[in-house]
Amino acid sequence: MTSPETGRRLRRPDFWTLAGLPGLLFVLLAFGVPMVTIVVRSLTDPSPENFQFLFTDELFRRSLLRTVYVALLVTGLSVLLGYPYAYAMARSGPVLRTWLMGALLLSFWTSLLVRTFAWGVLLSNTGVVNDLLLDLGVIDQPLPLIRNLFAVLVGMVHVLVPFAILAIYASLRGVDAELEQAAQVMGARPARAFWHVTLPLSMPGVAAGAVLVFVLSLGFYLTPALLGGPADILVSQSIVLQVQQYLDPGVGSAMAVVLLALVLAFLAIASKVVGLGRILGVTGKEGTS
Amino acid sequence: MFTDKSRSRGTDAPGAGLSLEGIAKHYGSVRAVDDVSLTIEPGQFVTLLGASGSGKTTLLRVIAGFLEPSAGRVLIDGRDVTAVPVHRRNIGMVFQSYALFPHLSVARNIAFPLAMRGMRKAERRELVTQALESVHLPGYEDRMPAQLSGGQRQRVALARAIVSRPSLLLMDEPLGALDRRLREVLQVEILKLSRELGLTVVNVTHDQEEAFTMSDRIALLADGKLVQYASPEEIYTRPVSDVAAGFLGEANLLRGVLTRAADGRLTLPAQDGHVEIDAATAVRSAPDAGDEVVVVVRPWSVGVERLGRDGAEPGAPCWLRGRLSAVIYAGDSQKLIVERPDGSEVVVRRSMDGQFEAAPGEEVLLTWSSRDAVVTTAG
Amino acid sequence: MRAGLFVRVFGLVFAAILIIPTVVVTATAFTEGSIITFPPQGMSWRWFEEVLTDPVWTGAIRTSLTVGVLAAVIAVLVGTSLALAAARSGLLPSSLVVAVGMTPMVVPLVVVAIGVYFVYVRIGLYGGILSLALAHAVLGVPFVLVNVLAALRSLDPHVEEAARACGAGPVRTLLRVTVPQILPAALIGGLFAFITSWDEVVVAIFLNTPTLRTLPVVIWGQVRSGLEPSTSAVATILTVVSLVVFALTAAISSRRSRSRRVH
Repeated sequence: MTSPETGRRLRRPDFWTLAGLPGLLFVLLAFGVPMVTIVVRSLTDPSPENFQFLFTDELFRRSLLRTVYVALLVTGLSVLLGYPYAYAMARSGPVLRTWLMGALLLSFWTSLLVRTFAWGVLLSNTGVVNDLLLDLGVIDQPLPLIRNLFAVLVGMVHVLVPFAILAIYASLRGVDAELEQAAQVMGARPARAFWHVTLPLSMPGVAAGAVLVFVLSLGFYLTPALLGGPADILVSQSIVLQVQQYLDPGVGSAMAVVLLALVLAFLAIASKVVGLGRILGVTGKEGTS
Repeated sequence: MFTDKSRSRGTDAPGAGLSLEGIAKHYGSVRAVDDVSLTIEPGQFVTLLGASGSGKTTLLRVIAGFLEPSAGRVLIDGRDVTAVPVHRRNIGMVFQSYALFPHLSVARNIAFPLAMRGMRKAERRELVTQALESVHLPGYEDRMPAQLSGGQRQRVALARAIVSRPSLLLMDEPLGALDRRLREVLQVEILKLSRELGLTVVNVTHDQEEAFTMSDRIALLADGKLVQYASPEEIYTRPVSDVAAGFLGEANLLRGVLTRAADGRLTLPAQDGHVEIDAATAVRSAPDAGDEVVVVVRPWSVGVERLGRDGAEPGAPCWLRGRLSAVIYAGDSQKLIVERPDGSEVVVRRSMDGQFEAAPGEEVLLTWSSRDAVVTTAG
Repeated sequence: MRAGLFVRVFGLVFAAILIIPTVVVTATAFTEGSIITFPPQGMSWRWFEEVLTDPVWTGAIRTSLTVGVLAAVIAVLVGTSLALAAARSGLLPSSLVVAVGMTPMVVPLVVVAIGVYFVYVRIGLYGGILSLALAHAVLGVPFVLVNVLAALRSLDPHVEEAARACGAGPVRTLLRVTVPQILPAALIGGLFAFITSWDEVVVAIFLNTPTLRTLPVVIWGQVRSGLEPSTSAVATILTVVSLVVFALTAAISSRRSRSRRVH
């Protein structure tokens, strides 16, 4: 009767632990095994020299640097463009807010492939933008708007900015508008009230949005593959090339391991600053406005 | 053994008897419940009374089976149920948060325990109707919990708890979320209902008035220990300690070491006063000189008058002097707070029809009969 | 404090930019001509008719729907199982269970795709419709986990205790009291999981065979080879389905919050 509780616990897992086992098992088999396989193949197909090859390969090094560079640009642009949008949503009447939220959700729920395809239609040499500019006589030769870094940035920011907006919006909603009023009553001009009260208080949302956008950018494949030029490929594209074109799964796996390590290392550092729950929590809330 | 069993199984059986034997619940080094033993007779209404953190809710959860005690046994009708899981203990339970199933209608909420006991639908319907009538909510079968007021929800919760005629009805601060008026109405209703059905009830509350109104017996808990287990009257008139005295009703506690006067009487030394002791009022053993005691004087037992100008010592056996610091009107009575020279306060209650008129700041004399005080000890 | 005029105008302009791609694709789908132009020439349903009578497209739609529904069902079961353990297990640390369930969200899709591809080729699962659904289910698990975990944490624990006191054992309490209460959240998570599969391209490309092509995979092939108004029509269908699913999640969550608000 008086047996120590701890001993009993270890021998008999509780009901809820048992309820979680099928889920854990599934994720381990359907997701864990593939991840482990990549690591194993990177080391054994044919040998760990895959990594040696990578670090001496100029092309890979450049695509890795380019990936981080693009991710930083996309993150910066998403936050800069997303902040005023989120601010307009958080501090406006119900009509404007509904329109802004509606546009955001319409865009967010349109498939990534469709949106990327649409930017192709808009930006190509015979596309909508060039046609318009030619018709207006602004230019007499189509501008090179596609198959370059510009198009990749446009496409990626368009896809990722909603994540930043939703994260920032959530934290702005948490900042009491009365705090700003209080600051103004105490003599701060609106701009000062914003700089000294609102902006600092909304920083957790900015940080969470930035981390999420950066992490997702690192792994982007579709948008750079459709809108980018052949000269400036990113790491995900290199991985696909190795596996599908050069039929070298060992090197492809090694690249995947490097990319994965980059993502996880960044998340590990970021989680010290911003709670992971806050970063990932955004994804569960799109439906609620 | 066999007779006990058959009694608890019959649907018409009145409430069961409950015995707790040396129940303890430890969390690490914290003793939430510390060696509590008590027996509840079939059909009794018992309240576990204590401040938050006193262990009363933990004890109730041990009785229900949500918690396994670290030591001790729980017996229902003599049968050891310590290792029996909650759903096989044949209990009914009412929670402060009502805990209705939000996705089920009122009727299906109440029918739930019947369904769990494998009863057929037609039979269930009749019992549900009866249960709703007994809590004064006839015709509410098809409402959803979200459509009900707080009081209505608690009535439904009560109907759900009693519909299967459990051997034990457990209530965890059932009225805590309701306003005062509704609380008083429901106190009476719950009591009537439990008497009609012959239920054994264990009720948890921190509200001494509720405990007073409803209980056959009160189990007073403090710091996980059972301080006193007795009828409300007995706890009020014969508190086993200053803790018990303080918890049930207002009390003035006078502490000190007894001395024996030249004429053989026991007194408690008091500055600006004189406190004699009637040995017959001692709750425990007969007091003697040198004993450290607490004398409990209820506010209603204290008389008050303006202090005479001459300053002569009064002849009464028990008196204290002090300065009237506040007069509070509380409905039909008056509460006086008198500050003693040593800074302590004495509370006096008197009815409004008395002739005494005094303003705060005046010196007053407090007197009482030593037979109305109780001699107890620090707990 | 109201947002300033400049900020509000910026918001409106940016909102327009956000929806322009969706609008353009939808508009070009209705063209009468045989090349993609904006604004479209005339107005016709011709490309939709073409798509809906072409066995390649209709087969892809059927494949996508099947994979999506299977993936969503699996994701709901797995995500709910993880959420139950994360919220209540006395043995497994909550953060560990959540980390396991959320990781698929942060791992680049390309990495998931080649990993699954390697494993499927090795063990002979390559090319099966259920195999693709399994891979997509993993991607949907985080959405179910987040939603159900939040729902579980907002439940009144006394409701389940009341069920136990009413005589229900742990399993019956789970099925008759806990699950009905978290069902809306699980449904929303499941709809998210469906859309994740419905829109997913990279994993679907790696696992595609001539008989197993989802809608996005076929679009992908077209987009790379050359644009046609039929692609716009399919893209519009893809988008409309997503929006219908979104409307469903919104309806479920507003119904849920309404039933909670009544007190």
